Amino acid sequence: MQGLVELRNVTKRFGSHVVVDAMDLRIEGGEFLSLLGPSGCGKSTTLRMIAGLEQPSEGRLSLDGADITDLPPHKRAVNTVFQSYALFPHLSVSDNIAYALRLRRAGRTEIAAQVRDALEMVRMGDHADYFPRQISGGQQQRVALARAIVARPRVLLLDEPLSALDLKLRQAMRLELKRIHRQLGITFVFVTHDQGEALTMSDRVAVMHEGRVLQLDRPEELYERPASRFVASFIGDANLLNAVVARAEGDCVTVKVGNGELPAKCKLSATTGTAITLSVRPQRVKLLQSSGGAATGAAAGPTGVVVEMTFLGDATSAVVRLDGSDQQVTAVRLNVEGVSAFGDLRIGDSVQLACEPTAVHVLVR
Amino acid sequence: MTTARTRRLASTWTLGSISAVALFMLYLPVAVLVVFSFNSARTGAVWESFTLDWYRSIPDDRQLMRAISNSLWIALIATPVSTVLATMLALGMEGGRFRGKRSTEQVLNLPIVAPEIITGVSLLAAMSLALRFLNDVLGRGNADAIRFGRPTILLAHIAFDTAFATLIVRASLRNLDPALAEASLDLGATRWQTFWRVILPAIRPGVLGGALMALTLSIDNFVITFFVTGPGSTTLPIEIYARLRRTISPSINAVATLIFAASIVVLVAALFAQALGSAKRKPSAEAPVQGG
Repeated sequence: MQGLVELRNVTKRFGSHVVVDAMDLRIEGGEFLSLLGPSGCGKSTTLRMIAGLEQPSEGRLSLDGADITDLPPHKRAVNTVFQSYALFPHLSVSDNIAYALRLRRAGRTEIAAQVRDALEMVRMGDHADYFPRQISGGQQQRVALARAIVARPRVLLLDEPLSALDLKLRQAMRLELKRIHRQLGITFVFVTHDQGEALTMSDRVAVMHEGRVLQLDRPEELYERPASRFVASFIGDANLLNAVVARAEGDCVTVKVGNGELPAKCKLSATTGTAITLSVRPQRVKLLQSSGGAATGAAAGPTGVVVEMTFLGDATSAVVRLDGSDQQVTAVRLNVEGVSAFGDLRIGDSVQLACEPTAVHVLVR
Repeated sequence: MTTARTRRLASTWTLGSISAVALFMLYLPVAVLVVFSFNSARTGAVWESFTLDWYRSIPDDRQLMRAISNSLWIALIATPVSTVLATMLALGMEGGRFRGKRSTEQVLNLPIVAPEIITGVSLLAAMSLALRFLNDVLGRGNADAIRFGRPTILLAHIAFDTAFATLIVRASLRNLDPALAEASLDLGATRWQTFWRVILPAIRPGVLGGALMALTLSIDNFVITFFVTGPGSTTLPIEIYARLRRTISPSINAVATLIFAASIVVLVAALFAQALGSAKRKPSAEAPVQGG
């Protein structure tokens, strides 16, 4: 099986600065793939190379099996929604959308019908005669989208299209984009630095850092099983703790962290004494109020002192400093009817940490 | 009345009076000129009676008409040529990253920063050399030699017009979102189509402004033109100057008034064109709906 878009060993250098580093990426037909990473990680450059707006320094790109590395942008069946929308200011909304069709010398009635369909698709049917500067940012966004899909590209590229919108509109547009993706059935490649956008919309997410894809997976997998420290910290909130493998039995290991031990599942073969990093989501950290001395047992969790309690609205977070180390762990609990789920826990209280083995993820350092 | 308000009123008055005086000083000479172009007195400063004789005499003044036609011929060729050159230069300068961009920029700005007299003298020297070389190559003797005249003035005007117009076109290009051109390419347009369909419409005000600038500079120029002019190719500013040295002729007042009127017409036309352009972009009077 062949991917719809394939990047093979693609490198992009600007001067001596490597922006995309020997990247391999395979985008399947019809999927919604996000390129996620902090600014400067090479995600936009990757998108621009697929569009043909940048030439790779090395490597090849193919679309539908055909090599497109040397094809100019106007000959690629790929369209882009730009971050700045890039609507043509001297053309009306409908003329903006008709731009690609006119270049193909489509018939007048055909153009009119397709423009109308595209406008309906983005719910801007009654704004056909407006000019870009007469409509709001959110509406411009929709027009940019309609303009890019009207010619039915094989791949739609979206370069941080939601970043200029306010929060409410951004969340509404996420749902809209998903709906349009479903209706059109074409491949979406979405560039974003917002992990929330990537997780909610994508079929798969490629987490990028320093010009490389660190992990390419379904959102659930990325969240539950990050492959590296960077992915764990970038996707959602995570407690990243330095620990040492205490015992290993099959795929179950016990790790020593602080003055206690935690059980963990580990696919890697970790030998006793290996220094590792633990990743635990704040929602999955349990705090047991310890009265008096630390509990003892085979795998007694590390103890610590609550140093901070923060009300977050729908939840409360507690920060615990582990005894005998300078590491901190954050725990989050949903509030029940406005009452902290941590009960009467106060700053200064001693607690003991506990976690399900499935909640503790081992990352090799 | 509070003191703050008094003070504000006082400063408004001061500012207003200073502006009024400045405008008065600026336009008084023009007003005098216009008034005296209708004065029947042959010499200067005394008002006799109203007349249109000086205007009527213009078409019969063959030397003056010749100077006007020279000026127009030069300006009407120099303006489009330099506007096209300026647009191409501006596109090259703003679009590309290339070696020697900064030095190209400096060279381009030289005619703007260098005193006109330097430009004039150097053009005279360079063109003398070029003409001698050309006449040698073509084997032309004294009788049929190519001399200084309208073509040399035209070349000189294109040179400085281009420098100024480039400055204006570049400014409008710099305000252009580079993603516009990329969006056009992305949607299937070639570079050529992108220029005509997206870039040129977007920078049209800058290009028109550059053209207007070139036209004005060309009609107006004295110093540089003076160095590269030849027999029979006298332009209007030089002709006017030559006449004023002899005696203040009321017909010059009439010509100057006509030029002044023409520039006002051009200015108003440009404003109208702009207003029309933006009115065309409003499909309806109803306010656009805001929000997503």
